[in-house]
Amino acid sequence: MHKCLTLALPVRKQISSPFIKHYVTAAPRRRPKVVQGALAERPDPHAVKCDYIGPPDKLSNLRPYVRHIDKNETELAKKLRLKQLEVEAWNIDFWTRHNKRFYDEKADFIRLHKINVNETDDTYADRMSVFYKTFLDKNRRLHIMYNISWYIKNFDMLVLAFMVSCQKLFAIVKRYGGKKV
Amino acid sequence: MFRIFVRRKNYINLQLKISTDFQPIRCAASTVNKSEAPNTSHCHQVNNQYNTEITNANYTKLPLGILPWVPSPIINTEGNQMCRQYKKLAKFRLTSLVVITTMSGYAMAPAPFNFTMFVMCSLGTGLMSAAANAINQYHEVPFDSQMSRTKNRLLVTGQMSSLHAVGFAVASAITGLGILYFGVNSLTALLGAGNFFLYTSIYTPMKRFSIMNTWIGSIVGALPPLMGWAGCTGSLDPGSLILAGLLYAWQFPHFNALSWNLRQDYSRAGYRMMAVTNPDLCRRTAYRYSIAIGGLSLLAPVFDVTNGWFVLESLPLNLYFVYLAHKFNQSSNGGSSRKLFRYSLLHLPALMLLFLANKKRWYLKETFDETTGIKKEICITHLPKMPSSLVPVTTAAGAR
Repeated sequence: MHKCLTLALPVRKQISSPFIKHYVTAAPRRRPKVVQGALAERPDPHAVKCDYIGPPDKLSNLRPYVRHIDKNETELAKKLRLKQLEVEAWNIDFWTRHNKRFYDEKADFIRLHKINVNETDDTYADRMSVFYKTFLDKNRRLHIMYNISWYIKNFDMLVLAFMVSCQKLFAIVKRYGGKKV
Repeated sequence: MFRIFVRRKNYINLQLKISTDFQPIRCAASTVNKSEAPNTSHCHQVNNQYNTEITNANYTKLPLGILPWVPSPIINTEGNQMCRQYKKLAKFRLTSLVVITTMSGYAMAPAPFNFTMFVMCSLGTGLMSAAANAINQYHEVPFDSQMSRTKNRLLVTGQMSSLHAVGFAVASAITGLGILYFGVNSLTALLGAGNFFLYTSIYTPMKRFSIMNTWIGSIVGALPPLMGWAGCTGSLDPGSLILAGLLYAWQFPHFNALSWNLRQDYSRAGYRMMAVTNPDLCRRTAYRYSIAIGGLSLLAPVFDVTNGWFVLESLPLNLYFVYLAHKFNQSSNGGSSRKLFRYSLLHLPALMLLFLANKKRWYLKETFDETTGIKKEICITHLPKMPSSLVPVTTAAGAR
């Protein structure tokens, strides 16, 4: 089956090595797509025509958004944009603090129990699992609160986005209706 | 436009003006790992503003493009990009597995096989599953971005907007329910709606509240064969519970083995799973339910789902499963959990095939005698029953 795959697709350069062999005979990876409109730096909200998303933030693991500002932005669209900015900032703040706490406590645990990080996988995993359990239990209430808040905020954003898209649709219909007449 | 050649032991000067916190540019800056990296003898990178080409074997997952800030939602340039996005949103492979279990539930049911209803049942279930998965992804965006297994999902990377995803889910759910209600029967539609509700509104939030989410999730996995069975016969017989019970029991060794290696990610992201909070319970349930699978397979002939040969055929399959679960119970580590997980992926389709091969009777036709009012079913027994011979048997069944 692998042979058929490699014949059907463009031939890749054959690299002979015991390490690469496994990779080359597997299904060939597609070339990177050309992403239309991609930028190297964080864009200015006034300068772009659509929302942009960036690489994941190292501390919070969330991807930052840049919400563009239309010249003739309606009230509803502005409300949506502000809500999105607020929720995104809140999310990034929560996860930054939470992840920092996790890594700090993990380092403390390793230091306290003198765990050798380079031990064989199994012993290390077993000893760390004690830490994972205590951390999870300690943060249970925090996670429940965050979960509820996140669901509510997410739903608010969804409703606003729906209303904004309805508004845009009506605007288009009105414009076409006007032209036909 | 310029090229950078990487030779195995040399450093390269990176002269691109790209934001340096973009991690996947390991090709050009990967000399740190030169001792560990496999034979990266040739990696060339052509970069002008719009065209990039990387052929380095060190990558596992390629990012959207070398330039890190991309429009969200993604601007569709290819025709079938939308289709591919919907497949990712619906978790296509998982949905296919669900549809296969539904199809086997339909095929195992003791009633005539109607091809149109079979297709409608499968399609409806597939659409409901796609909708449920889309809603799940909509809810879990910040949690998915924390875990390495899920951080490349559609909504996490911003390729699709949440509104679009929910719109897809709503359309898919309405279509699926409609197909099930009008094309199959109301019991199947009810089960489908119940499963959808269970998955999106109970299982998904519960992942952060309590470890009971695994049990609820197993019920979610067990309902599709019941939907298939109900689609065929119109009711749920004790035989259907064998299939459902098998799938319910299978979820435990499967999921517990999978989650064993993800404990750090689950702990940080706040998922309450047995593997993190109660590792002993995790091992024990995997073991116990693998034995339950064996037990249920033994009961299959008792409920007239399969013939007696099934017991003999499924015994080696189930015994090996129990053995791997026992090994996992005794010494749970990366190796034993991976073996158990991989075998569970083989075990389920093999068991389904054995079920189909050993079905008690295949119902070919149903005739209704108008004078006497008796329904007759013409059916065929595939393999010899122990020990009688292979003949088509007509059985008279009372009015259903």
